[in-house]
Amino acid sequence: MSDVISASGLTMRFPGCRALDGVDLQVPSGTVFALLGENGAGKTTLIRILTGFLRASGGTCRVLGYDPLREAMAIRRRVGYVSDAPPLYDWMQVGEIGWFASAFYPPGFLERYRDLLRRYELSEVVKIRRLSKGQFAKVALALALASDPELLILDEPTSGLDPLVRRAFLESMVDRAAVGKTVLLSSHQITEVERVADHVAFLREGRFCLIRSLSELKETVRLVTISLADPLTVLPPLDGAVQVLSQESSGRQRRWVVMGFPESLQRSLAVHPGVIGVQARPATLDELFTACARPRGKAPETSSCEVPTA
Amino acid sequence: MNRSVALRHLCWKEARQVLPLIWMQLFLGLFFQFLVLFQRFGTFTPRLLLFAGMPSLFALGVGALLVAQEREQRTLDWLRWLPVSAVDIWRVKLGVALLALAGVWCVNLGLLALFWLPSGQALRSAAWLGTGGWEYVWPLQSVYFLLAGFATAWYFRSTLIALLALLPIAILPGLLGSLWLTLGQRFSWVRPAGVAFEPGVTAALTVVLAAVFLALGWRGARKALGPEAMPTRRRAWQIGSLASGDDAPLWTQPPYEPTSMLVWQFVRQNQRVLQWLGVLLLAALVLHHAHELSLVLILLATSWLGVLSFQGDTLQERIGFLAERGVSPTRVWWTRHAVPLSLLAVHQVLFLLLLPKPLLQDAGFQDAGFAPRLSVALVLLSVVGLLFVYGASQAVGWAIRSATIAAIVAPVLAGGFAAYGLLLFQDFGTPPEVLVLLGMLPWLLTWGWMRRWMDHRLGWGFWSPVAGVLVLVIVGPLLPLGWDMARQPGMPVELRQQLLEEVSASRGAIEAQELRITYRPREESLLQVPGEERRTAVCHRSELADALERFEQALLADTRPLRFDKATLRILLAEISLARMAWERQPDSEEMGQRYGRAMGLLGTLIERWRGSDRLIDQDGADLGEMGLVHELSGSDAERRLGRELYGRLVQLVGDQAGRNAARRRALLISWADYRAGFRRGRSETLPLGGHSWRGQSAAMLYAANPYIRRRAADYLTWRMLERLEHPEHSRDASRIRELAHYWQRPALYYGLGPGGHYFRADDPQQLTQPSFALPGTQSPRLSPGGQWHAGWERRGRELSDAWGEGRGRITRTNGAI
Repeated sequence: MSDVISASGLTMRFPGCRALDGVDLQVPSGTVFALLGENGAGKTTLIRILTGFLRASGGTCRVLGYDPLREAMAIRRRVGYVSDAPPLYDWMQVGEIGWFASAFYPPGFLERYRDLLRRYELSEVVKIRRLSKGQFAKVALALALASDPELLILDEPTSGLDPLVRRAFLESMVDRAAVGKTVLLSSHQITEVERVADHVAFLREGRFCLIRSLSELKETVRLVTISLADPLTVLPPLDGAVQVLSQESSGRQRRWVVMGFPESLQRSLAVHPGVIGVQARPATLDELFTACARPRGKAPETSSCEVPTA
Repeated sequence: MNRSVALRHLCWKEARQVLPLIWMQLFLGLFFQFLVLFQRFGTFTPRLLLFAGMPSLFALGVGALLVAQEREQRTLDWLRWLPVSAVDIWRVKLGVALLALAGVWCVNLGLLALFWLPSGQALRSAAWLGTGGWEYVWPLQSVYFLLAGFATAWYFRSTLIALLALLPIAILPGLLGSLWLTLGQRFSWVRPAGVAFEPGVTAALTVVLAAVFLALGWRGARKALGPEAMPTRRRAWQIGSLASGDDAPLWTQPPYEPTSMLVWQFVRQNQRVLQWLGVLLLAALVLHHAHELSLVLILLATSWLGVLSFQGDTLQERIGFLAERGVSPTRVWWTRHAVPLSLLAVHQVLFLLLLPKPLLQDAGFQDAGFAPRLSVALVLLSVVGLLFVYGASQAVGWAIRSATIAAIVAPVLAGGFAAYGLLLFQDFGTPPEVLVLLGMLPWLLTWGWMRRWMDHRLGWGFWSPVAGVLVLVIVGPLLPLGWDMARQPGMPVELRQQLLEEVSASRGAIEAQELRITYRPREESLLQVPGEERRTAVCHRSELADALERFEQALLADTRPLRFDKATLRILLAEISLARMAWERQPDSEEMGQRYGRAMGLLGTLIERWRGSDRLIDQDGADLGEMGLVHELSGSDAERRLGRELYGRLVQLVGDQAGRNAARRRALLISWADYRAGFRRGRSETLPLGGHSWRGQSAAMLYAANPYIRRRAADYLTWRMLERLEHPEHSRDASRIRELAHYWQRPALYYGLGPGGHYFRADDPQQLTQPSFALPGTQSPRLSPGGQWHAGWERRGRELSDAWGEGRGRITRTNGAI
C-alpha cells in the first residue's frame, strides 16, 4: 500500500512558538487517517503545510507524489479540502457556488454536487450568507466531495452538522476508503473518529506522541484501575516493556492508561501488599486522547509518550 | 454593566480602528510636502492646499472606515449584540471621528509649520485660501465631509459605494453656492450690497447641509443597528420578473469555461460598484466642458477601478475559495483586470472619438493643421496616463487589505506618483522609457506575487517586494543620473593649477564694455503691418547712417574691448552688403566707396575690440565678423575698393591665426576661471560660461543644482575646448564633436556634423555668401561655442594674408566660387 502523504522532519516555527517540531508522517492510501490533538497542537498548521498554504521551516513532505511548495496547484486540484473556516462567496446562492466551482473540475462535478445537496437537504436558491452554521458546513463538504478527489483533507468537518447528517457523512468516509480513496481527518469528535478511522495519530505540542492503527490501539492500550487499601501504598516499578501513558490518583484508586499490559503483570500486582484489586479493560479512544493530551509534568513513573514507529 | 467603562472601551476600539487612516494621511502629507520641496513655483499655495486638503481627505474616509467597513466585515453585527444602545454606538463612532479630525488638523498645522516656516515664503500669494473668511470654511467643510461620509456609510453596505455616493454630496455646498451666485447676478435682492459673498454663503450652506446629513446619518444608524426587517414591498422590476416567469436557474446550465466563469464571478460580485463607477465615467463625458472636473472624475474612476480589481476578493478572504481549489493565479490575475480595463477602454474610445475636436477647441487648439497630430499625442498620453494611474491603484488595492484606506490612498498616491513622474521627466531629465518601465512595476508586482497573495502568505516574502517596488519607483529614476554624476570626469589637477596660474598672469585690468548700434525710429517711421496690431519700425537710410556715425564716435572715444552684439554685427554686415551693391551700381561714386570702406573699417575695428574681450562668446562673435570680412575680402576689386592700406590691415587681421588662437585661449581660460569663481549655490542654474548659457550636459535639475558636478563638468569642457583649439584635427573627429555638442547641449549639426552641417559651419565658401548669420532666438547656430574654430574660412583668411604678403595679388571670386 503506497503512501499518499509522507512527511519527514517537518518543523514550523512562528514568532514565539514552535508549532511543529520534527514531525514524521506516512498516510497509507485507501485509509481513513485521523489526526487528533488538543487545541494548538499543530493539526491545522500541518494540514496547511501539506496543502501548500504554509512553507515549513524545515523538513520535507510529499502529497500524492507532489511537493506542496512547488506543485501546490496540482495538489489542490486533486485534493478535496475543507478548512476549519471555509471561505465561500456569501453573495452567491447555494446552487450558484457549485456551478461556479464546477468550471475548475472535470465533468461530473455539478451532478455530484447537486446530488449531495439533495442528500443534505439543502435548497439551491438560498444565498450562502443566509445559511446556518451547519448548512454552511454542508455546502463546504459538498463542494469538497463533488470533485471525487483521491485525497480528502477535512479539518473539523462535522462541526455544526446534525447527528443524522454526521452519521451519513461518516459512513460515506468509510465507503470512500473502501474504494481506495484516502481521507485525512482532523477532529475533536473522538467517538466519530473511533467509528471510522483506520489509523490514528496524536499530536501534542507539535510532535506526534502516538501513531497506530486503531485496531492495534484497541488491542494494546488498557485502562488499568488499581484499588488500594492505603492511598500511600507504593507500587512496584513496572517492567520496561510496559508504557504508562498517563496515571491518575483518586483516593484509594490509581488509574493508569498503559500500553502493553500483560495478564501476568496484572496478576502480580493484584497480590502486592496493599492492593485490593486490579481491573484492566481496553481503553476508549477518548481515554487515550486524554492520556496523550496531558502535560508531561503529570507523566507516569516510568516513561513518557512513545515515539511513533512505522 | 458600568456604562462609562463600556463607553470608554468603545472609544478605545473606535480609536484603534481609526489609527490606520491617521497614519495614512500623515504619510501622504509628508510625501506631498517633500514633493512640494522640488516645485519651483515659489508660491505658498501648494502647501496651503495640502494643509487644507489632508484633513478633508481624512474626513471623507473616516465614515467608510468606522461604519461601512464594519458592516462589510460583519463586525457591526457582533457590536449590535453587545449590551450597548444604538445611540451610544452612534455617538461614540461620531465623537471619536470628530476628535480624530481635530487631531489631524493639528498634525497638519505642525507639518505646515515644519515645511513652511524655514522657507520664509509669504502668505500673501495664497491670500484667497487663507484669509478673507476662507480660513474658517476649510475646517467647517471637513466637518461636513465627515458627517456626510457617516450618512452614506450607514446607508450603503459597500465601502466603495459609500465613498462613491459621497462624491456628489461633497460638492453640494459649492454647487449651491454657485447657484446662489448665479441667482444673485440676475436678481439683486438675492445678493445684498456690501455682503462678504463667497466664504459667508459657503459657510452657511455648509452648516445647513451638515445638520441635514447629521440627521440623515442618525436615521441610517438607527435602521442599521436595529432589527433587520425583510422588505415587504417588492420593487417593480422584481414583480416584472416574477410575472414573466423566471428563467431556468444558472446551475442547471452547463458551466462556462474557467476564464469566463471567473469574469462572471467578478462582475456579479462587484456589479453595484461597477455601475456606480460607470456613472462616474459617464459624468466625466457629459461634463467634458469643465476640463478640470472631468479630468478629476476620470482619474478618480480609473483609480477606483484599479482598487476594485482586487478589493472585492480581499473582503472576508474570499479569494481563498479560488486558492483552495488550485485555480491558476495568472488566470485569476488577468480576469480581475479584464472588466475594469474594458470599461476604461470603452470610455476612452468614446471620449476620444466623440470629443476630440470640441475638446481641443476648448483647450485652445484652433489650428486645424495641428489637431490631427495632437489627437494622436493626446490619445497616447491619455492611455499611458490612465494605465499608470490604474496600475498604481491596483497595486494599492492588492497590498492594503482595508477597502477604505485603499480607496483613499490609491487616487492620492497614483496622482502623486504621476506628478513625480512629470517632475522626473521635466526637471531630472529621466528618459521617458525609464518612466514607462517603472510604471510597469506595479503590474509586475501583483502578477508575480499573485499566488502568495491568494494563499494569504503575507510575511517578509510578500512585503519585501512591495517595499522594493516602492523604493525602486522613487529612487530608481534618480540612479542613472546619480551614476552619471558620480562618473563625471574633470580636469587633471596639475593642468588645472597651471591654467589658473596662466589666467592670473593674463587677466587684464580693463573690463570690456557694452556698445551696440542703436537707432531710434521716428513716429512717422512706424509702419502698420496689415493683419497685426503692432507697428513695425522701418529703418530709413538716414537713420542708419546717423546710428553708425554715433557708434563710430563712441568706439573712438572708448578704446576698451567690447562685448559681442549679434544685432550690431547683423546691421553692419547688411550695411556692408548694401554699400557694396550700391557701389557696384555706381562704381564711380566716391560717396559709395567711402560708405563701403567706412563700414569695412568699422567691422575690422569691432573684430579687434571683440578679440580683446575675455569672454568666450565675444570670441565666437569675432569669428562671425571675420567670416564676413573674409567673404568681402575674397571679392574681386576688394583691394581697389578698400585701398591698399585698409585692405592690408584687414587681410592681416583675418590671416593672423596665432593672434586669433591666443585671444581665444585667453578668453576661454578667463571664462572658465570666472565660472569657477562665481559659482555659488542657488546661482548655478543660470550662471553662463563665457557668456554662453550653460546648464551643463544634462537638463536635470538635480544635476544643474549640484555645484560639485557643475564645476567638474566645466573643468572637463574647458579642457576639451583647449584640446580642440590646439589640435585642428579634432575638428574632424566625430566622437569629439559629439561630446562637445553634448556638453554644450547643442545639436552636433551646429558643429558641422551630419547632413546639412555645412550650413552651420563655414567650411564651404558658398556659405559665406549668406549675409545673415543669426537666427531669431537665444541660440544662434553659427554662434555655438567654438563652432567655427579651424573651419575653412580661416584657411582662406590665411591665403588672403599670404597672398598679400607675397605680393602675388588677390584671390578673386567668380560666380560665388573662389
